[in-house]
Amino acid sequence: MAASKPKTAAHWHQAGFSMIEALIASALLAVGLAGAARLASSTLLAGHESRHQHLALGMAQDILECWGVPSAHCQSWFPTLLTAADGSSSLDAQGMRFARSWRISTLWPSPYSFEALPGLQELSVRVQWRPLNASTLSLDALPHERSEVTLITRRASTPTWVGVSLPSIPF
Amino acid sequence: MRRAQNGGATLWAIALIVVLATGVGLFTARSVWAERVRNNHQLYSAQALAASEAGLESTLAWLEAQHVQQLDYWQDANPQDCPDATPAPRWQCLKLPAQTLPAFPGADFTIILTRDLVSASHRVKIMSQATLNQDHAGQHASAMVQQSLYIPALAALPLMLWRDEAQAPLLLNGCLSEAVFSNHRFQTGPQNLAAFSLKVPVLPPDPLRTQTDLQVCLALGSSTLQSQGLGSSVTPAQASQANTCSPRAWQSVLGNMQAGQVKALSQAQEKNGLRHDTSPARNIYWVDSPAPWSQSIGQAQAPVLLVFSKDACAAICPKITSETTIFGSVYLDSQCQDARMNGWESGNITGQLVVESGIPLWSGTSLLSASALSRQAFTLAWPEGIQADRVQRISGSWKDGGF
Repeated sequence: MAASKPKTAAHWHQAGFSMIEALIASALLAVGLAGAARLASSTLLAGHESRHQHLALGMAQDILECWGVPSAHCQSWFPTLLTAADGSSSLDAQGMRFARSWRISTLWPSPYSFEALPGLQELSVRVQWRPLNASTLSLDALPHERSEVTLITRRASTPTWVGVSLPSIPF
Repeated sequence: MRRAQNGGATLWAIALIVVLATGVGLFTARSVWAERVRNNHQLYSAQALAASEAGLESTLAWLEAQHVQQLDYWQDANPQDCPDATPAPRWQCLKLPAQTLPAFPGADFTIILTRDLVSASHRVKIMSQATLNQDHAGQHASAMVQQSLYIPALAALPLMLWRDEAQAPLLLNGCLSEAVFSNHRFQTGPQNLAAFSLKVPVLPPDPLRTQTDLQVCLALGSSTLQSQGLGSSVTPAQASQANTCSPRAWQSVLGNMQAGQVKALSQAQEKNGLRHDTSPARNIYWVDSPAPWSQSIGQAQAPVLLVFSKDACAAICPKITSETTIFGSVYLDSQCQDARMNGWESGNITGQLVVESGIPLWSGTSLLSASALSRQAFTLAWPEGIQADRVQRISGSWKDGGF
């Protein structure tokens, strides 16, 4: 009997340790899984933000490159180049609504009195995005700056080549 | 004891799984973070590129305004602003002060203008660098674009200039005294150019000149040149008296170039450190001083343009001393006043002598030789048919990149 006491004590001791151990393991696992889930969630969100930002940048560059290009598509955005003008358009993609807005302002008039085209203009393009199911339609109330891309550039009226009218040459 | 060991293994296994999962998660997060950073850099890069393009365009508009108002903005050029690839004195470099252009939100501009003062003063390269500043999330991101353009430095020569009178070794807006017209004063050049041409389209006003004088003047060049076997002169069929002095000699050789353009280029070359003994050598000289000219300038393959202005010729045109040799074109603005060329000495000129009057008495041991390259100093490479009096971009010269 004297020899069995330590066995009983050891048995109870081992059983208690297993319970605590299971609890600790569960807790550890829960914490770890919670962290991993949060990490996965934020990673997913970050990935989406990157993709949206990339898409928005492309949309803004699209407007920039269309400025002054005399194609039908581009001229639908910039019907007149002579005066300051605002414009906007929107596009749904990847579960988001992207809103483009642009503003053309004249910085310097033309140095030539005979030219109507301003000497220097500035184009500012802003692309904002929000989820399609968002309750608010106000794009100004976006939570942080990552939901917006802005590009600004300028253009001078300096021509590429100006020719003179030559007299006809008899052959 | 075995159960205790099993529990420890489970704990360690769980811990290991958690650590591994955390590690994998961290690596994934790091990867996504790197992707975000790359995306942000791409955004900042695009914004910097758009800003540098804005700087370039702003500079173009500014340059155009300077030329319309005829302002000499190159006065502030500094050789120390030249990039390594385009050093002074050949290259003139101008760094625009920051306040020159309209402020740009979130970016600072560095604008440098360069041009080759010797052989292409009408072509300017603009290098525009934009760096995002502390007002922008992408601080320090930078981009650069460059573009070349034509400026009205020296105007394009009209096509009709390439006629005989434009290339004549001697071109006068008046008559030449036959008494001093001898064969030892003229010789054909090594290229054996066609003969000398005298251009007397409309004689300058002179109340004392008679119709007989006109005929003598017109008959003079042809007969003498032909008798010397040097070729023929070119004169109009009829000469008439003009009421005002028209710079026909200048227009025949230099076309629609403006005196101010030539003077500005001469001053720019001098200020930039170009001299007759530098490499490359200075090739445009504008002289306002009436003092005799005694500096030999130009070389057979690198001719010069030497202009004595109306200020230099106010009383009498400066002489070129007899030991002086000039390769290139020499122009004297004697304002249709023959008296200002009376007793003029020319030294040795290999190229072209253009005088805005006659030469009543050409003295000294002068020698004039023809040269096919005499016009090289002021003949710039312009596209045919271009209107050279305004700023315009050079097609295909836009480039994205560094200095």
